Formats: sequence, C-alpha cells, structure tokens
Amino acid sequence: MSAPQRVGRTVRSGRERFVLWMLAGLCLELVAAIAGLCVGSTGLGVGRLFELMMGAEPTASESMILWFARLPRVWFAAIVGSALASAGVMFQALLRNPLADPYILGVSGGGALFATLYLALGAGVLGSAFGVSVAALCGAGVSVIGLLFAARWMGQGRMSVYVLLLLGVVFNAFASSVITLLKAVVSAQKAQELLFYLMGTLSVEGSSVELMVFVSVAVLLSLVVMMFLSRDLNVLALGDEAAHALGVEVDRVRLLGVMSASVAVGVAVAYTGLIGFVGLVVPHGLRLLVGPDHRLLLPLSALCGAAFLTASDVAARASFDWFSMTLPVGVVTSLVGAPLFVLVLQRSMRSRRVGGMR
Amino acid sequence: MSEQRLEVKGLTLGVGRGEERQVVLDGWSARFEPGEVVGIVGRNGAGKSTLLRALAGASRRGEVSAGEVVFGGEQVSTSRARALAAWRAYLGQREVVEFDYSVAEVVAMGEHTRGGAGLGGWGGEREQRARIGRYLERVGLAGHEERVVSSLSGGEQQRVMLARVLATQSVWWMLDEPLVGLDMRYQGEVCALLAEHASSQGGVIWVCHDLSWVMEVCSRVLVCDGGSVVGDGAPREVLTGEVIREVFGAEVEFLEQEGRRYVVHQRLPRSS
Repeated sequence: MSAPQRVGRTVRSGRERFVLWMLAGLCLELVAAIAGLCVGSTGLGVGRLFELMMGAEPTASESMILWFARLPRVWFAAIVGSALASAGVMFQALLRNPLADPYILGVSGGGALFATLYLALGAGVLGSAFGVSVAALCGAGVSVIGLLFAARWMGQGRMSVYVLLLLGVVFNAFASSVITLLKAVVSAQKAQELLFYLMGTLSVEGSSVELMVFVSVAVLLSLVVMMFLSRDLNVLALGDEAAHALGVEVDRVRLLGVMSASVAVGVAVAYTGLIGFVGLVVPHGLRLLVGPDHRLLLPLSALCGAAFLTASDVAARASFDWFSMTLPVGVVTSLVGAPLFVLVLQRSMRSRRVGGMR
Repeated sequence: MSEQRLEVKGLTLGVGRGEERQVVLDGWSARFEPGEVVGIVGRNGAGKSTLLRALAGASRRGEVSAGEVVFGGEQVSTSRARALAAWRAYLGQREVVEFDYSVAEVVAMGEHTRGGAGLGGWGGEREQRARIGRYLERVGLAGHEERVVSSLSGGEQQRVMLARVLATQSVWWMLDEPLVGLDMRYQGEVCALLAEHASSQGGVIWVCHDLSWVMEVCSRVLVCDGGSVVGDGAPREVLTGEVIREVFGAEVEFLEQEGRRYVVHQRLPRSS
C-alpha cells in the first residue's frame, strides 16, 4: 500500500478534511468581510471595529455607515459570489467540462439582455428594481434552456458540450451587441446607468430590505438543492450512461441542477449586472487544491466565491482614492480573474490534460 | 434462482431514424439464469451493444421499438435507475472519467446507491476503504487508490472500471468489450473473474470479439447477424467454422489442446 499519493488527500478521513477545508474557507471569507467593513471612502480601523463588536457604543455616523452601507454590501457580495461560484461548479459537473461557466454559457448574457431590455423599454411597469430582477431571472432561464435545446437539436438528440459552449460564446456576443444597440437608442443618462449595470456593481443604495432578503433566500435555497445533488454530480463524471447504470436519475439531476444554478445566477445578475470569472477561477483553483469531490468542492466554492467577490469589492472601493470613482466590481474580477485563470489553467494542464474540447 | 432470472419477450431493436433505421433485432425471446456466462458475438455494427443496453435497461432513445426485458416481475425499460443498479452492473465501451477523480473515488462510485443520498455519505469510511482495497487487488491495482484515473493507461483505466463493477455487488454483470486494452495477463484475470462470478451464482452477459476466450469462458453464446440472433447455445456447438465464415466473413482454424479450443486466423496470404 505504498502508492504515490496526492498531497493532502489521504492523510485525513473525508469528514475531517471536509471540516478543515470549510473552516479555512470560512476564515478567508471572514477576513474579506472584515476588510469590507473597514475599507471605504470613510475609513474605519480594524481595532475600532473589534471594539464595536465587543459592545462599544458606535457614533451616529459609524452606525450609519456600518448598518446601511458596509454590512449590506458585504453580505450582498458574499451571497452573489457564492451563487456565481457554485453555479460554475454545477454547470461544469453537468456538462463534464471544466470550462463551463454561467458567463460562458450565456446565462449571464441572457439575464443582462433581458434586464437591459426591461430598463430601456419598459422600466416602471413593475417598479425599477424588482422589475429588473424578474426580467434578468427570465432572461437567464430562457437563454439556458434555449441553448440546451439548441445544442441537443443540433446534436440530433445527443447533447454535444462542444456545440453548447460554442453556442454560448456566440449568444453572448449577440447579446452584448444587442445591448450596445439599446444603449445607442436610449437617452444618455439611461445609457450611463446601463453601462454601470453591465460592468457589474454591488451598489446597494436604494435596494430595500425585502429585496435583499429575496435574493438571499433564493441563493441559499439553490445552494441547498445543489448540495443534495453533490454525490450524484460525482458519478456524473463517468458520463450519463454510466451514471444512470450506477443508479443516478440523470434527467432529474440535470433538471434540478440547471434550475438551481440558473436561479442563483439569474438573481445575482439581476442585482449586480455582469460579473465574470468567479464561476471559473474559484472552482478551477479549488479543484487543484482539494480534488474534484463535489461534496466538498461545491460548498467550499460557495465560501471561496463569497470571499473572492467580497475581496474584489474591497479593491473596487479602495480604488476610489485613485480614480475618484468606484470601479464596478466586475472590472476587478475580470482584471484579477483573467490572468489568474490562465495561471490555474496552465497548472492544471501541467498536472494532467484538461478534457475540455473533445 | 428463478427470481434472479432475466426474461426477454419479443424484443425488437433498431438504430437510426426514419429511412435510415436499421433493425438489429426482430421479435427475439430468451431467458437467462444466474450461473451463466453469456457471450454476445457478431461483426462490427451487428447490434451487440444495442442488445446489451436493452438487457441492462440502458437503451438510448428510440432503440427499443417493441417487446420487453423483465427482471423480478419488472420491465427494465420502465424501472428506476436505482432499482436497476440494485441487481445489475453495466459497463459501457471505453468509459472516460472527467476531472481528477482518484482510483478509490471511481471504485466507490460502484457503491453509489448504497451510500445514501445527498449530503455527507462519509460514514463507514474505514470499512469502505478496506472493501475498495480488496476490489482493486482483484484487478491487479492494489495500492493504487490515490492515483488519478485519467492519468492511468487505457488498460489500467479499464481495470478500474472493472473494480467498479465488483463494487456494485450485483447479481448480473453486463459488460461491453471488457477486454479491450488489457494485456495478456489481465485478459486472463478478467476472464477468471467472470467465471468465478458465475460459479458463485452470479450471471454475466458480455460482448467479446476474442472467440478463444468466448470458447473458454462462456457457457452460452449469442451470435448476432443481419437483424436477428442466428445462434444461441454452447460455444462449441454454435461457433462452427461455417457459422464464423458466414457471420464474420473470416476464415478460421480451430486448435485443440488439452480439452481447450482456440480459434485462430487462417494463415495470411503471402504478400510477395
């Protein structure tokens, strides 16, 4: 029994590994959250934050900033980040392809397209914020289902992942040109609003408590559904036929998986616009660290996705000092995520081949 | 053992659609009992894999056009995946594992339905590791638990898949060309596994192109040709030189040694 062993994979039992990694992820998110509470146009010392948590009486401006600006924003970043990362894991598992991502699959593009259409054409029918979210949710659902059907139709009954990813790229390009077109025809002020939305923003000003609760509940419920599918997702790595042979109801897993991931992404996109690379970098990096077991990978991706987006948001807000404007967080995730993804891809290509395009 | 019997009633199978549809089996009935090792032979494209999938309840859309396969009073075509997994293991041709799953993880997938659903499933880990170790020993991969399956050679991957079949602890094994990619030694070891499974009241139905192994291991052979099963019986009686010439269009010779019969190609024509 002296085989070459993968580092960090065998020494401990599965349950111990699970707990340790989840704790590590939680610490990461906590650090990011503390930074998120401290950094901003009005600084707040970590020491002071600690005092406040220990029960010190906050000043009026402190409590204003913490309760109405920073805390909701940090919470929001965590929720959206976990939605994007876990949806990335889900799509990658369902399609057996490490390059699948809500962004690439057109789910984000479809959501943004519908949201933009709504903002440009009909805003006001359902009220701005709520209407946009419903539109984005519909867009995400319609585009993912449309793409899945199109890929299946072209593959004559058998889904070709290659075709699906290509279709997703084409659809995203199409969606973004339609969005550009819409920007051209609406008023300048509206166009500015759209642009900011499309770059991805975590600004929570003007969103009500009810909306925050709605988003949080939707994402957390999706996460629970995904967790229940996690064991089946492992078996799906053998292919649909083998998974079915081993007792997995493949169609049901696929349906629940696509639905939960789409709901999570749709809701997230509705409030934040396009935020790329979270669903790609986080799962990919974690797979290198902890292996592909979805029982651990899925919840850990959710935690680390939360930490990644919270940290990106901190960077975006810290940038205020240099640019005298807050960068959209989507710019930060792409700036950091794209090179990081290339690095991670190179690492995983070296350790073995990525079975991406087959 | 009749409750473990597999019954085929008027099964009609085809592949392709519309004009291009090709019937690979036409109203065939049969029954299979545990203790048998049943080989399915026939030329490429004769529908062996389609037949095996139908028996395993793993048919693709449109393949079964009439008839049924019944196990324990249930039609396999309408059975739940979980119910099927309780009594039969199915191994398709050239299965590929995506992502960096370890050997142990893939073998453990054979126990999927017995691991409970959803969250957790880490209970009884020590016992499971011991079981996995035993299965891997049977396919000559003892101690390779932590290696990444996709980094193994084709033959080693195939043996991992066979360990996965062992892990299912199913009565019926349905294997599509399990010897592909295996070297001489492991072809023999896998054939020994099949024979042993049958002798402990399991049943095996497998597709195989090596007629010498079929002669040696199988208690029964099905010959698929031209849309029907043209031969069904003991290999020595069914696989005659004439049948092989007709079905495969190949000229073979039989070598007999110590009660074993080998099927070999006739000498190749000299090229110059």
